[in-house]
Amino acid sequence: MDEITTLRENWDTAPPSADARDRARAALLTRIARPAEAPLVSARPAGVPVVPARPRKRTAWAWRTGIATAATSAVLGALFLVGGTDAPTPAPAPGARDRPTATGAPTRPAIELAAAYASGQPFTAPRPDQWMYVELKSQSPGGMARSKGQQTSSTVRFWRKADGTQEAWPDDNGQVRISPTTGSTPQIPVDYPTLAALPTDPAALITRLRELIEKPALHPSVKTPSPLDKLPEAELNAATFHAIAGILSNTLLPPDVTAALLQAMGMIPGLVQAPAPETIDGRPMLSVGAVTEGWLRQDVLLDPQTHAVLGFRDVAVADHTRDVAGKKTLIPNGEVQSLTFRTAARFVDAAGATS
Amino acid sequence: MREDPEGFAVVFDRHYPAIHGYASRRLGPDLADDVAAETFLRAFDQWERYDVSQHSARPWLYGIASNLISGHQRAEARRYRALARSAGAEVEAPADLDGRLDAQAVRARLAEALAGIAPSDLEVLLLIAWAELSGEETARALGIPAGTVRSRLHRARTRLRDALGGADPTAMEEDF
Repeated sequence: MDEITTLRENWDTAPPSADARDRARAALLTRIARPAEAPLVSARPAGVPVVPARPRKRTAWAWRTGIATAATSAVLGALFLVGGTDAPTPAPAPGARDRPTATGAPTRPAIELAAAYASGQPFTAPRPDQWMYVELKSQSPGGMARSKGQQTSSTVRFWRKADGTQEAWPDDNGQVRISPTTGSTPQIPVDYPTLAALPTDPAALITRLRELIEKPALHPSVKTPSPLDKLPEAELNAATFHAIAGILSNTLLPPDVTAALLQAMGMIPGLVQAPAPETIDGRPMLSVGAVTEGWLRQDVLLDPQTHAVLGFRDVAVADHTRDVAGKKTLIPNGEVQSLTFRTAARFVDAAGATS
Repeated sequence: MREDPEGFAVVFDRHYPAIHGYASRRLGPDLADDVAAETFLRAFDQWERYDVSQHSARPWLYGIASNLISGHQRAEARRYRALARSAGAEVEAPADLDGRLDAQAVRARLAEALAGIAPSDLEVLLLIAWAELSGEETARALGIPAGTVRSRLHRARTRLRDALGGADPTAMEEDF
């Protein structure tokens, strides 16, 4: 039993009294009955998300899978639609390879070539006692990081045991600390055994990922999800894209699973592909991405020759004003918000080992 | 949604028990009554500006509750210290027949550990442990990056683990 479970299971509390509940409900109904133009609570509690205006604020799912943030500047050209249509896609058709693309788009989208490349890579399955070592290097010079006071560059190293039981992260002193695999309730699994066993059929895979993402985050006592707890289709698509990008970034998986992830990514409606490579971090890369919230595109960056996955990027595709506690930060169109490259991914014999 | 404010009562009915339970675990039942009631009043006041059609209401409500609870930081710390003291005798008692600490002793150790965790780390730990939010939901609730959630959770878990004396405080025959 890990300490989270221990804390959860050893700290019961009595249910609220009926009297307290009735008083609280009555107070709420009184407030509801008050005319809308009456003064309301003026100060927003710190940290409580607010939607200032449409388009909505950037949602936290962009951080869901733990891709570190980063950036450079880039001039973005026209993009080709390579994903599905905007129609709901509860069960995408397996024949995505045959889906027509926008006029002028490559006859075979880069994301499919990336899947083909991934499927041919050598791979030796790890022993259960081995650890997956991953190193990510990130830059984040954009306005989003500035508004949050984040570092502009960082290197993240972590280890996850191949049997799925443990993970290890360096502490503030650089000492690698082993702990049980995070027991918080991630919608997308992070452990190797679960991820390696994901469906290799891309349609089944994307359905599985959507189920995980859509799983209502409700209290166990709630039996019927409310519309308030459902993700809208556009956000679900963006979350699916980001979930796949996160798995690709953070995990070393068998080639057939990696290929299926990329094929599944190619099925996401609204996916766009740059018409030509651009120079990013000193080398040509081809981007394939999904626009979210009308101003931010998340990209997977590919080698234009081999179509190997090289990295991940968040880039503004429209001017956007970010408002954090009343402090406004303009994020101009074209400004890269994050750029992340996986600089190491291999199986090693111990947590802390890098080779 | 503001066109149908009565609909907000549904949000109350759905989430009040959980929000109250979370506040009660942190502050005790009396303060929890006030915090839970105020959480929904504030939520309603913010409802017009918060896009509930785009987000789960749950992290949002816990964010409001967390903010209100943070105003009772001293009371919370006093509560943990009191709980640690009240069961102090049990902490020193030998393990039971199964070689496991009894629940009260574990709770005392947990209380002692919680009292020593920085408030910002504690808030993350308890949203994940007691509110059962995911890391991403916790980030959304507190308006902080997921990376910050991870680092705060790591620190809090480390403190908790150290205070408990090992990975599994309910099965520490050698330590007790």
